[in-house]
Amino acid sequence: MGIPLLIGSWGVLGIGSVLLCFIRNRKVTHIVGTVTVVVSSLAILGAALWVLIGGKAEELYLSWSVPFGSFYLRIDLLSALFLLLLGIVGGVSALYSYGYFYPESTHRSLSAYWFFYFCLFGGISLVFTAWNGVLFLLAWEGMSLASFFLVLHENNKEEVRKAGWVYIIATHGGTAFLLILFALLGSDLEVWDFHAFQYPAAMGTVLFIVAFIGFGTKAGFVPLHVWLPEAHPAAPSPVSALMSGVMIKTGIYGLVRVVSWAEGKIPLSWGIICVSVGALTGVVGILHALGKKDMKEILAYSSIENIGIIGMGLGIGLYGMSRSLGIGALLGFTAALFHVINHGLLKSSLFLGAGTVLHTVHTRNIEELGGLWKKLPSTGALFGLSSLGIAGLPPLNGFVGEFLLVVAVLTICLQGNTFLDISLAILVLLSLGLIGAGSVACFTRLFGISFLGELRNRKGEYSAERAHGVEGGTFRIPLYILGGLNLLLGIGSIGLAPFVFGGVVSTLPGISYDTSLGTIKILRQTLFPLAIVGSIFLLLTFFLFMLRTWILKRRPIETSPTWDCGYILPSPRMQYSASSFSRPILRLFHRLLPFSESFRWEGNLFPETATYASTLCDLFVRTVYEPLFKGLARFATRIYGLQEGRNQVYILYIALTLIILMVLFLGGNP
Amino acid sequence: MEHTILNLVVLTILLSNIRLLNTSRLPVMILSVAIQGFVIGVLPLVLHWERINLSLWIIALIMIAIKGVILPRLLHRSMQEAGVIREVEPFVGPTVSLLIGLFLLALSYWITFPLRASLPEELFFVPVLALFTVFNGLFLIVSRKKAITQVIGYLTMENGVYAFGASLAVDHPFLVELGVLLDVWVGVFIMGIAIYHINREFDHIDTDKLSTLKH
Repeated sequence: MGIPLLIGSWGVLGIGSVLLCFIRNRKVTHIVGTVTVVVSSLAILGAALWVLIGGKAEELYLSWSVPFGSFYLRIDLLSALFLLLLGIVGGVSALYSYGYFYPESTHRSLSAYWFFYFCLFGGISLVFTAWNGVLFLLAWEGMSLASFFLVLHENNKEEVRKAGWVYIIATHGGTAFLLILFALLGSDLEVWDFHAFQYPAAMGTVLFIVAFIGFGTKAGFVPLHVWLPEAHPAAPSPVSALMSGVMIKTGIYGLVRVVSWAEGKIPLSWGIICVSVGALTGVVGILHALGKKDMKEILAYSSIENIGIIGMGLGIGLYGMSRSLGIGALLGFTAALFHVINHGLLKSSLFLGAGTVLHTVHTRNIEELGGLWKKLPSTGALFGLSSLGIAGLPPLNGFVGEFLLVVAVLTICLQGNTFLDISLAILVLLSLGLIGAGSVACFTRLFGISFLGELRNRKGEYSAERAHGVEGGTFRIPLYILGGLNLLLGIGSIGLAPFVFGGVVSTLPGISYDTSLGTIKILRQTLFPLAIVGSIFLLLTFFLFMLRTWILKRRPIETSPTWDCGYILPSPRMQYSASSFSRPILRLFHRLLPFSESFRWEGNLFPETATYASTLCDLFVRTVYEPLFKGLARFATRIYGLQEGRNQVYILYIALTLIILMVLFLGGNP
Repeated sequence: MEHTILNLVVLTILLSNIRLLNTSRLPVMILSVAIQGFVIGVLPLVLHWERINLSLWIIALIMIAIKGVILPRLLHRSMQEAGVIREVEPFVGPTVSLLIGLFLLALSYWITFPLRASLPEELFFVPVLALFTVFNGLFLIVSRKKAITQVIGYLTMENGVYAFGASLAVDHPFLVELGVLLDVWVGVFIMGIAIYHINREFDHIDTDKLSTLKH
């Protein structure tokens, strides 16, 4: 039933695209687009659940005349797990798009938006199910191009076009490496079917590095992450949610697949590379997230940070495999996949919340926001809930993956005890600690500055009706769905565990029965208390909330302005700002980060004017990419003279090349 | 008899190329390219004299008609329409062109030298001159300004390609050459239109002025 449902979901997308061509009425177009994706995502969800619950992979093979190609689909447990995430996030984002673009749909046709949304959605689902290299690359390119066009939705803005360029260059660079990867894997194969891709792991380090660069560009590992903070703010919020929630996870999916084709013992270096890059990614990501002021840019950097955590999980898994510490390895992979799902749900709900904010106040700069919770009560509550989750606090789902990662590291530490084991464990624990603290600070800042206090900038004023419209219907339902799932998966992570673990065990080669049994035992021991403690915590919260309501019922409640404590003339500008919140932490790292601030103070004891400004650029953009591209540009200007503008000169180039080649290869040889 | 005709053909190709190089008068250039086209159309008949058949005759006649008559006439007409009869101020003057032509001849001899072993003695100069014609055409395109001269250069180059094919590809010569002919046809067609439009827009057909389009 899985494959028919999958094909059915593509069929729905196809019918939807055809309908989009013929419908002239813009509002109907908008409805058709939304309904198509929602139905299609329900079908995908059905397929994923069918395979997950049935526990049996399904496949469909059709031959294809393309060289190396075959139309080979296969949904195994790993694919189904990722499809589950896609089904939820894709459908919910589409539902959200309805409300988000409703005002726009009255004066602009959205058929292009919906068409590329279909392509992106279908492309991701094909990436997760393709079982042939050519088909996979095709799906991968389709997905990348569709998301490129979606990023360019507001293409009348200069910054959006720039972001689009950065994205398309990065993604094509990544695809180039994937092409090399598949060419290497399939060098002596007639058909690039996945199960034929076997390579001896001992010789595969180059392969692994190529795969890591190719898939890592999509996933956003440092220093290949630069496209994320450009593309996510530029894209419309539902698209950011889908891209950050699901699309970047295709990189993780690909990496796991490549690892699963390795035969024999994996070299130690793979795990070490993966763990150190993951740790770097996490720390760099969260530090940048702390310093940025654009709401969606913060979320993008937080995605990078979480990809870092996932990368550390994969790395611990790989390291455990090469050290024959099976239980630790399985736990590492399980932690990574848990975090894939949880981060996907959390980040998409945050991006959708950011979309609602953007829709209400028309600015992404959190320095101008404040006091939004009063205007947007449910969005505020759900955004706060997801912030708690992504900061890795129990009982929400963001905690589960990180906790399992710690358990995995400790298991590795306890079972093996070489110097390398311990130092790797310390590296992971230290970076996890830094990331955890950083993300708590970062999301306290993001949520506190934008939702609490008073509105900081009068320009960002909004009307009550607008806020009311935003709080209604399709804006709220997606957030409620995602928020509910986040809470549910936080407490009930033990319910998801069999699926995640099944995905890991069925994909990785050479896992013994005892190892999986041992891992299951540890998983149960870890997650069961989590569920109980989480439930108790929730009950307690609920009880306290009821108590508060009960107590307040008998007393008069009065509302007064925030920060009204004793000042004669309070102004919103007296509040703690985003810059001041993050300054102490950034000052700590100012030698590492390109963090610059300027401070001006005039007058003596009674200041007349004072200004403060701080900016944080991306470390790698500053140190790697800017010099690189400047050098390229200089080189290009230098050889610009070659483009002479005269027809004759161009033909002279051709003629000279021809003559030189002829002289080199033919001339005078007897 | 046969050899005499072959020598005559080879010599005519050589001389027409030289004439193309050192004249700046367009009617003379068109005449030279017409003569060259005619002679090159005859070339396959001379080369394959003993195995000649109907299809060879037909194709040769078509070639002679197109290269020797139709294309030159078209060129002549567009020359009159554009009202240009002289290539004024080429990038490379006639005398220097001649010297460069000499160098190109030597170069094509040197490049073709390895083929010597695989060809009969008396046929060796055909590929040499064919290559020289190709180079000559390229040189004309590079060194002259007027669009018509460029078309002439292009035609010369295609003549060379055709001659080269005719001298070497003994087994299935004409399929390829028909394709080449199609190229020529399209080339002249497009360039004819281009000349017409350049002339109408700018009142001249100097292609070097097109460099203003670069920015």
